[in-house]
Amino acid sequence: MTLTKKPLALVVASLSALVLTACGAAPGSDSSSASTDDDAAVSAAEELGMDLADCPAGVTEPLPAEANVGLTLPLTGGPATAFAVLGPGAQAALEEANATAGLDTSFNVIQKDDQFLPDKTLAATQELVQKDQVVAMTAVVGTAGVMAIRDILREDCVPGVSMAAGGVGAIDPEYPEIVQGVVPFTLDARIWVEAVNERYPDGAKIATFIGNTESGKDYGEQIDRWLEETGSASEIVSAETIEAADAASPSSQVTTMRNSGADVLFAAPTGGQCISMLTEMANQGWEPETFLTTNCASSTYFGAAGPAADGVQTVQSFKDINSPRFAGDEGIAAVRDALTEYAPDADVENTTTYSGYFYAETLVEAAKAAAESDLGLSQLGIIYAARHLDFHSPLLIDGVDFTVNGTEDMVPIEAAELNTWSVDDGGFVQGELYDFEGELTE
Amino acid sequence: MDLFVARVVDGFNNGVIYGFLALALVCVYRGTGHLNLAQGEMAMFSAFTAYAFYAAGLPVVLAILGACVVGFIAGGVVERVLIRPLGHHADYSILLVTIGLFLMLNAGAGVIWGGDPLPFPAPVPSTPDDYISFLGTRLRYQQILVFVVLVVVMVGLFLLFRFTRLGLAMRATASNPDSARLMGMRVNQINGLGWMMAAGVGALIGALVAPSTTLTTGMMFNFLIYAAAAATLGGFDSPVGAVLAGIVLGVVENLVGSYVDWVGSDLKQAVALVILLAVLMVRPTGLFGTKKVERV
Repeated sequence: MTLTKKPLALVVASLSALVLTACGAAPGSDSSSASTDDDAAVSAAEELGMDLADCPAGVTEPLPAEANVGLTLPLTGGPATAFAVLGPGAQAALEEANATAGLDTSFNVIQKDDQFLPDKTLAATQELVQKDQVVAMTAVVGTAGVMAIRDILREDCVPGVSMAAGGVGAIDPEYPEIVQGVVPFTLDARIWVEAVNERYPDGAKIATFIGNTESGKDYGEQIDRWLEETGSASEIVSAETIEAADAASPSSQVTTMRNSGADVLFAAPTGGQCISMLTEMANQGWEPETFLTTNCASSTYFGAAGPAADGVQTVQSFKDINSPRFAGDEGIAAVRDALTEYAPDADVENTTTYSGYFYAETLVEAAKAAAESDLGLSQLGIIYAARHLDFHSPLLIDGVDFTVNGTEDMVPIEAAELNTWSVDDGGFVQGELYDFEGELTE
Repeated sequence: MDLFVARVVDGFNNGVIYGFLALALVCVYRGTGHLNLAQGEMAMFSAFTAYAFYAAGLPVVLAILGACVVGFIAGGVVERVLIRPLGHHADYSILLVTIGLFLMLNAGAGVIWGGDPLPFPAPVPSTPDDYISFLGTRLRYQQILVFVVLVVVMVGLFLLFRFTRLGLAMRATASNPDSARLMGMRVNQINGLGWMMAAGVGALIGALVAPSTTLTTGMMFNFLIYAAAAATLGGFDSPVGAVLAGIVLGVVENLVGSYVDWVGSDLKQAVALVILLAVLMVRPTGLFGTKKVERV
């Protein structure tokens, strides 16, 4: 008589197969070093803390007539459905620049699949840099992915403008080649804390509900930072987390937060968890003043939550293309026209498509500024220009600009509105504009 | 006391979902002797199918039933096209095929329905006021419905496996397909029926949990891990065991996560995996599973 071991073998093999991921290889470089007598180049590099001797030859040379720009983004796997549309958006901005910007260089977009996995982002970027000889990267998604590739970009002095990563890993002065392209989590946290300080001068009890991710770690640290630096009288009484892949309703976390007596909730879960959290709060009858991550600041999430989202506040720097407030907006219309003309396959009803356009648009702005500078349209020129960019995209809300200043001001987007979702209005009600220009760099 | 009850109820509700999906795993295992790793994704795809029916204008109850029918048929097609050609003894090949099916369904749902989370209506009233008070906590109609449906399906499967000729045939083919074939049983058809039943049960749970999770392509992944743990704990060939184990798992996991500070929400999943590991080491057939006897 024997006991069957099949369940044991099958379960262990199965779970192992589902959770194991491959490890990435370390980056390498075989380029010869750059050397230049150009005072402007040396000065620019020194200002950014770069040593040109560590860069490959050609970093200060004008770009060729045709140059490749690299994107890594999830084209397969679960996240692909959310992020793959970034590609056509970026394509449209670069094609538009080729047709209208009057630059000496025409840009080709090369996309590679990273499945939203940092090790694959690293491998794809290595191939883009070493094989496809991209002169710049743009629109890399996720703080973890950006952190995985920033050493490669540093080693080969490849500009990464602008990255879809809100964490502090994308605004690190040690990596001046990396320029952030989204609302930083530190701005989210600062605005939440400032709003609570104004409304609860004697202090509030705060609950936090944060994703157990790299971004979530940033959120936690930045909330602590601003509570301390603003001398807030408020305190965190409950700190709950959720795994990124957990789709179950967060009932136990909401139960714990509700019983903590918190007046205020700072929430930064991931994707659909924004909806299930709001629904669960409504189901439990818990109604704190709620601030929800800017990652969910669109009609897609708030609308799907139904009445549970009424009164929830969120930070917005970008126009919501689906909001009635921006129904006749000229800026959005101009970008929609560009998408239609230069990327006919682009989904013009999808917010993320416009994000893709914005990331590449920022790169184009940097290229134009570089072309007009002493450094010219070179990789160093783009890095320097991107680190000193000051422009207003048609996709940004009025009063919000993309402004950086070398390594002193690393955070491009430091202003945003704190808007409230209204079920009756079917969209966000415009709230106060908070502007912390130049204040967020650590 | 209210807080403790609320946490037990929270865990119970999650456990019902684990048990429901575990029931689908048991259907395949009981009928074929195989583990279907794509079970969660089949449930997810069926939930999206229900959404498509609902969006086309069907009442939500009919949309869910329609998805169950489609899932039932699709389960048979999967078995016939992807599983049967590998042969009954190709355990690991079948496991790999189910992983491929997992990836295909996950990507396919994204391509068809997009990446944004979609709201799915509950078949019973589900506004914040639709609940029954119980010891200071709220039992929502939707959660009660899922539990009732689970009990009905579990009892139905228990009766089928235990007291019908079909159930006996399914046990026989899973246990020893060669002997069952020599006895005149239509092994392939019985295997196909196991897959169809599992897909139908999966469709039901997918559509019933969607109102609380929202429809996303990743909605069932975590549940599958817990369901596998529940089926292991309860016994892969025991419908009642799988359901009870799922509920126990949900409650224990939630209480440990809530009351043991160093576990918290971060390590809750590890609780399930530790229980799974302990059961596999101490009692590989699970608490309610039957020991397999071989003639030597």
